[in-house]
Amino acid sequence: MSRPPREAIRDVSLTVKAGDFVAIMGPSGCGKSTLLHILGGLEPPDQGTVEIQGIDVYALEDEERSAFRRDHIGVVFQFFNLLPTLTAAENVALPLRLRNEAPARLRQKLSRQAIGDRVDAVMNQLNLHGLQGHGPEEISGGEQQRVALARALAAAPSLLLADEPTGNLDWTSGHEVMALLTRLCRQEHQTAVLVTHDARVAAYADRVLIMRDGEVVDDVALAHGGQAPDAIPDPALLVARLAKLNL
Amino acid sequence: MSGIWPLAVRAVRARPLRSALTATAVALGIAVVLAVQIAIQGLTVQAQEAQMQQAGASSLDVRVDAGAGITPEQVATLAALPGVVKAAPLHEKQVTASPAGSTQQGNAVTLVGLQDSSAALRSVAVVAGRLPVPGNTAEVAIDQGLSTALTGGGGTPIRIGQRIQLITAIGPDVFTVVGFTAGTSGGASFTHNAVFVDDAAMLGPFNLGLRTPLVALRFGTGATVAGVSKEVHAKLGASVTTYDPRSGAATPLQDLEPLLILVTVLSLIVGAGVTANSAALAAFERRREIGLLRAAGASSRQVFRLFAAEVGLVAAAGVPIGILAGVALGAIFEHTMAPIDLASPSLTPSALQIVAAVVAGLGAALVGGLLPALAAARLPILTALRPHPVGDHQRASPLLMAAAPALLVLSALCFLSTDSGFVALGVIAFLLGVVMALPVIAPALIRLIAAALSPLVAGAVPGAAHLARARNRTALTAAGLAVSVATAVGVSALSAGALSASDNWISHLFVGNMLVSSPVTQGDQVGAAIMGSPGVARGTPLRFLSETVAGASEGVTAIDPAAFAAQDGFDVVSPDRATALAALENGPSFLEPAGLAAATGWTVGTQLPVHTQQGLVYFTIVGVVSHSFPAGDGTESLVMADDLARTYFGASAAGFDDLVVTTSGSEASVVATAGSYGLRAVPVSAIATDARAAVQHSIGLVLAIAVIAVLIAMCAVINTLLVNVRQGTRELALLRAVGLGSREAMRRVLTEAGLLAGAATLIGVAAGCVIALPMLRATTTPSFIPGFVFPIETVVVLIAVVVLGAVVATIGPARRAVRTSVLSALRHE
Repeated sequence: MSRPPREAIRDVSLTVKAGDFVAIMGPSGCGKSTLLHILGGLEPPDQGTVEIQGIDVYALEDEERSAFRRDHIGVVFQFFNLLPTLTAAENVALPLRLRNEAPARLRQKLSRQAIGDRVDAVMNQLNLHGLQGHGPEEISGGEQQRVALARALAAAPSLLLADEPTGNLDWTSGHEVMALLTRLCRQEHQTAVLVTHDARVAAYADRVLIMRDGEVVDDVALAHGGQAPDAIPDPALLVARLAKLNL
Repeated sequence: MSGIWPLAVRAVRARPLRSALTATAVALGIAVVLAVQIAIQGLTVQAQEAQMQQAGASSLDVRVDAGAGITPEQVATLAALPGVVKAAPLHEKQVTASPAGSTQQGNAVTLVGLQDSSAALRSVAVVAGRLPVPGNTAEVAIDQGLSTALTGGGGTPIRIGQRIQLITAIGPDVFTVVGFTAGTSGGASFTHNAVFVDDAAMLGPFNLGLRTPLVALRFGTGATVAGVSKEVHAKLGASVTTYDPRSGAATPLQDLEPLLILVTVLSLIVGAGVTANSAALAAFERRREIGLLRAAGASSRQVFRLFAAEVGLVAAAGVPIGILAGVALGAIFEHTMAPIDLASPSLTPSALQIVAAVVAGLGAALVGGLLPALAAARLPILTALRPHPVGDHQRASPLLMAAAPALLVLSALCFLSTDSGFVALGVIAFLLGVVMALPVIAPALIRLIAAALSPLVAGAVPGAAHLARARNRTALTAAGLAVSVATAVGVSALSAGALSASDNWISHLFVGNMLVSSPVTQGDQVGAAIMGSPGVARGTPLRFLSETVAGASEGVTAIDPAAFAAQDGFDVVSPDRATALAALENGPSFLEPAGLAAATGWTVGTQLPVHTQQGLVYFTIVGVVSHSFPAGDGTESLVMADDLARTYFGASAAGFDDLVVTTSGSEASVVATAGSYGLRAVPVSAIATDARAAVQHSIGLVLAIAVIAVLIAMCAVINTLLVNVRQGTRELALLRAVGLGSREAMRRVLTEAGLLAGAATLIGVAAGCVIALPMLRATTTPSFIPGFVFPIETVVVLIAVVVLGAVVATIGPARRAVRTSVLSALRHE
């Protein structure tokens, strides 16, 4: 007996401005990861469009969409997702190497030196200096997630997406990652959207969209009042809003 | 690092065992193709060289079968033809020979004239002494077998320096034996029972009754066989036949070539399957990596190129190994297939052969690996990124399910034909159809076997469920093994059928248990002495003749029909044994072998003109037999009654060449008795063994290739089992966390390995039996009718080796998986 398809998200309209740090949170199965995947060009919506810097992502051909993803979108997943056969530096350099291998019309060739310099810069930015030659199995969980973050940032994307980036980390390592993200958004004006079910993680963001059953039910602006990026934010406001929504 | 290639290299190096197994499979595929080419070419060249050696210096033989042969005037005409440098007539005469001064009856021998120490431009092999000096009319060289035959078996053999007498119509002439020969380069049958004298003697004392059946012509530069033949017939008419002695060399593996090609193609298909399996396993294990790459911006085309590059790297690694292995395998094939009396065939493969083997092996591997690479490239990103594909139930492809019955129908249509090409196509279609249906057949059979084993083996049912869940992976792995096992079983059934036919042949021809054979025709008194000796219950002589039947030279074997009737001799096709053998004694008649009947259209009742001492006599075909005795040219001979042979062919039909005896006591006494007359006695069982060995020898090459294909397929099985163990580590850890013992865990893993290998082998055995039937039909001829014999030994060995090999290969990885701590296994991805 076939069942009707289930809508993962419904009537979601979202505008994210450059430099925004947005968190999407909600209970398990509310559609937050699906929304993130749609934003990242990984899953086409049945209806609607996704425009990033004026470009309709899903109007592009597969090859062009891949190139767009490579150049404009960085994605960090919950499980570290480093290629086990590559070193940390090689993992970080992956989007740049892929760029060199793209078809001519989509290629933006960088020299080996330029790639190496960029990798070093990004890794230093994320406190990963000295780990360039190490394989994933030689570094800690927190370090692996930061390498994944560095890979997502290597191509200087206009949009950074993170799907439960701290879900597999202990609190200290998770705070390190979130502090880095906060600094990137506040000081480097990186635009970031992250998905989490944890209010303590969502509290790092400037704006939190709360989802339930595929819909955005609340949009909360969080003021951090000049707090340092590595300060631990207070999730009380968020918790209160969630309680009000019975979540 | 730059681009795809470093990623591909890293991935290959990360799985060294899988890469090595896949490279081995590719190497074996290349090796098989190269070895078969080397063997075919080497043996063909060897046969051609042997043919050239047999031809001697003759460029063209001119023959006359009847009458006195070619006249001196005709010889002169031939010598004068344009392009002919030399015309060497073969003078011969039938005389009686005995030791000088002997009063014995003597032996019929063929006196052969030598010109410049050669006979019809063929060199004479001297084993002791020398040939008569040119121009000398008092010296002879005799066939070494005659040294004992001429003494009638009693007394010491003729020695060099002794004198023999050659008796003609005008009386005896005495000659000194100066040497012993072993035939000419034209072969033993070219000058059977020969006594060599110089042509001066042939044209002198033996001029009367001289016969010139053949003139060998040597050409000068520029002359061609066709051109000179035309001139010969223009000058001498249709009374002569011309024959190019350098042509018609047997291609040793010609009859086996279709089967060899089929098995080689199947080996390549199996190799492609191994590569496909390896690439599919790589894509499965690295699915999250694929998702990552796509999420990081790699296009599907880049993912495809990555996996294709990995396939290419591994396949390329197999190339040099394959070439070396191919040369070694070719050497083994040549060594086992080549006749031992010929010089070893050459082993140097040509560049073209190497290129062809590499293209075939590498091409098959790349084609096999491209489909999984394509599937990897098309994997949806989010599907690939899913952390643990638990419960990822694979579905059989509808396309494959539709293709399977179509291929099976195509194969059935092809099997209706007996043409070897269509049958080969049918075999390939059938096996591909079985492969396409494996995603359905294999899991069902595995579950069935597991259900049967479950009372004895606890892990059988879960193991079967695990294999059935990953039905496509299981099917892809089982495919190669099933195809290769089917090939091996099919070829074995062919061999078993041929062996059965061979045993039948021997048992009906040799109606005793020992065969006493002589290199030259022996006198009746020797035969009587041997058959009357202690240890011999009964015996019957065989005399091999060459007579002109219906205008052509045919081999004829003279037998005692009553002895063969009493011992159920001959497998009579038409009418029946008793009638056919009785009819042989009633008048001039022949039994005809089935192969000759098919070639000539002669049937029971056909009357054939035969040149006899009484002139032209019509002999009647009174029966057709499956097989008769071999004639000197490798074909099978006509059979007639021996007393009628003497009546119609005179003294030349007297005596015997072989005796078939039945011993009453020890075979050793018969051997000793025969030896005292310079004869050789061998048990008929030894002849049967040799015949079986000859059959196995020829089909053995094909079977060896099929076994190699099984080894290739085992690479895929081991690859899959290793992945299954790795993938199952987490599941095992979970089970151990809730109480499964490590011994039980091991048993589960090993049972799964055994189930996969066992099911694939059983499917292969069934498929092999199916393809054996049309293959047997395609090889059937009127003189060779192999029946289906289930190759039980091959099947048992295959099942044991494959299942044991799979289980043994899994022990190490399984032990490691089971010993992995529960916590680290649960972290394992």
